[in-house]
Amino acid sequence: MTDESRSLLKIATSLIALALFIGVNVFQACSQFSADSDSGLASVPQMRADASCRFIGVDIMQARLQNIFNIASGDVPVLDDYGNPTGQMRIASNLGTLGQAQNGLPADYSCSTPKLKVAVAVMVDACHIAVNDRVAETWLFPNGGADYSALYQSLIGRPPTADEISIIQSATSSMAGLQAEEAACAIVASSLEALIAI
Amino acid sequence: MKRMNRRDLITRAGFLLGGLQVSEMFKLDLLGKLARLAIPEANAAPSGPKRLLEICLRDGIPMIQFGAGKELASLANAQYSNFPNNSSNTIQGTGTDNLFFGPNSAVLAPYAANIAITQSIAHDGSGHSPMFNIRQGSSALQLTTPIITLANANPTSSIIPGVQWAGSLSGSEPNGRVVNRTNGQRDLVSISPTNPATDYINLFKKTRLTITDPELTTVLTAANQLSSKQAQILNDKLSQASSSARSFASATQLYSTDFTSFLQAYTDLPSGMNGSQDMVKPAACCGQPQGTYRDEAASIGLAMLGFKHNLINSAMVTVDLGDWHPVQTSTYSDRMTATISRTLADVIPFLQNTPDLALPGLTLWDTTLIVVSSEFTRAVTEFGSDNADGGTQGIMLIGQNVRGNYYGSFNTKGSGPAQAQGFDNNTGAPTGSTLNSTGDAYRTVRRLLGLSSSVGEAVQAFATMVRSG
Repeated sequence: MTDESRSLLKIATSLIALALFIGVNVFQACSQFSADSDSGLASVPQMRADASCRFIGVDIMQARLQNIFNIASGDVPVLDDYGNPTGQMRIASNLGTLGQAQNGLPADYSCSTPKLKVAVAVMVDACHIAVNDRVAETWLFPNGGADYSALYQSLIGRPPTADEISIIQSATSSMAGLQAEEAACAIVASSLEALIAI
Repeated sequence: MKRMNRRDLITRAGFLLGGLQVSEMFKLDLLGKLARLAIPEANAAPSGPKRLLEICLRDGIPMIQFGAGKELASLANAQYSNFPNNSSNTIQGTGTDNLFFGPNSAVLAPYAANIAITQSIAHDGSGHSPMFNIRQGSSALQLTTPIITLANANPTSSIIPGVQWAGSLSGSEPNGRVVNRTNGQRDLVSISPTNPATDYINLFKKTRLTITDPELTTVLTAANQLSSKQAQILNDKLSQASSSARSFASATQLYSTDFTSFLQAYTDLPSGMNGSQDMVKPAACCGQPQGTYRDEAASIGLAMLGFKHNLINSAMVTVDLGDWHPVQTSTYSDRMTATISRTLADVIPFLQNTPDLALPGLTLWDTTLIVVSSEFTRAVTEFGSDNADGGTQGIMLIGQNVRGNYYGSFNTKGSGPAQAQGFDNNTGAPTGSTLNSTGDAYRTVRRLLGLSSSVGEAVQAFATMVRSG
């Protein structure tokens, strides 16, 4: 018997032993990947990407703008290619993309790329408005622009970890004053944990 | 040491399992499960084609409009409105022995070796349904629609996994929309029927924000890093948190690059893909605005550009007549067949000549499967009789791994509607009045997409339509 044959035999023997002695566990483990059941056929593995990712709804987004960023309308203007307001509002003009129930279709809270795109735009522009508003700026940075505790508590619901503080500090190191605060706000507000419901 | 792949494992372990006194099916399924357990990537990444263009025909559009077998093509006189052709005006598809095209679909004949058509799938459940039972296994099985499985796996790492053009503005269902069975997975991104081209292109438009581009780049880079850290923290609370973080990263690409110029070029595509062709509907039909079908041809063209630039992995386009009855015996059915055939005949060479950016060395033809399905088809009645509900279901598969032919047949003897006849899943041999099942059609699509890792599932597919290799 060659070395390769011995190697193959060893592998196959191990697998068979696994099947025979912990067969039940094997099948249970496999079933975790399955979404389909098929009349007694073996289940087909599925990659359930984002299956449990629940995006924040339009109502939460609007409430966040009103209560955390002090933007009474709960929305931000859409800008044209030259940076001028178009007269449209970002959330109102993207209700379908953001999953608002409409046209007889139920609300959709799944996490999709277009939804994230709109949400990032809303949050970045909301931060611009907020840090230029004295009241909101004080809410977000009561201890100065280098302390992200209140910002994190408001948007994420927990204090930042040391790693997270390091990422924000590194990104804003070349900025000063309101520019740094605006960037820090935008980074946190448009991060994954701020945009999904846990 | 050479890394063992799934096929190696099955081969090697199967050698030793051969001595066990258990059934062959049990052994094969056991091996498949072992492979998936031992090699985690077998759970996620489909092999074979990795993109899907799906065209869903509402309202009972017959598949034999596009191609039929010799029993219909050899008629001395055209007899049935669903296939209004005869022996004098049909041509045989290249590389096939039983696929014939009439004048309206003759443009498909050069590609026939990779086109499989059947209308011999047993009717399953009620007629009109936005669920397309053929896309969920059956009305009872309610399995995940293949395009949903593929788009969620997103094996091409496209920016947006999958999009769906809603179809017409009216119809028997809301927005003429075809519904996907998601079983908890993420659905396709729906494109508004009001202005579909603009709506789709705007998905990839760079958004102007209040901060400068360099600032935005800094913010998004940091937000990406922060999201990755958060995904690690959330892993115990949120399954697939890292996948969500990757979706976030995809979204941020839409701020760094404006992709719209790639897509606006759709007007330069061949006529079948740029919306220049129209399919005028009869006045009595549907009450839908003219030009809807033009939008559908353009939607397919836009989807192809999305494939070309790897903006999307898969796309579904709905063709909704609103009602078949005003169309069935008129010139409108000819025009519908010609329009859709023209589009497909333009799409195939486009795929063949376009590299797949996600899979170096391969073309889109190597990686893409086209599935045209009908929610149900009509009884194949003679001219002058109404094509009532209650026929069979139909499917057309197009791809490099598809063995082209017409599968099944019709009993044209005697008067009255021609009765569909089934075929053997493995050999294609006639099975008489025993029709094929929607479940097996569903499994065939999964097999061609490389999604059927269960041996049992693969066995039940229409193997006769699948080229090995």
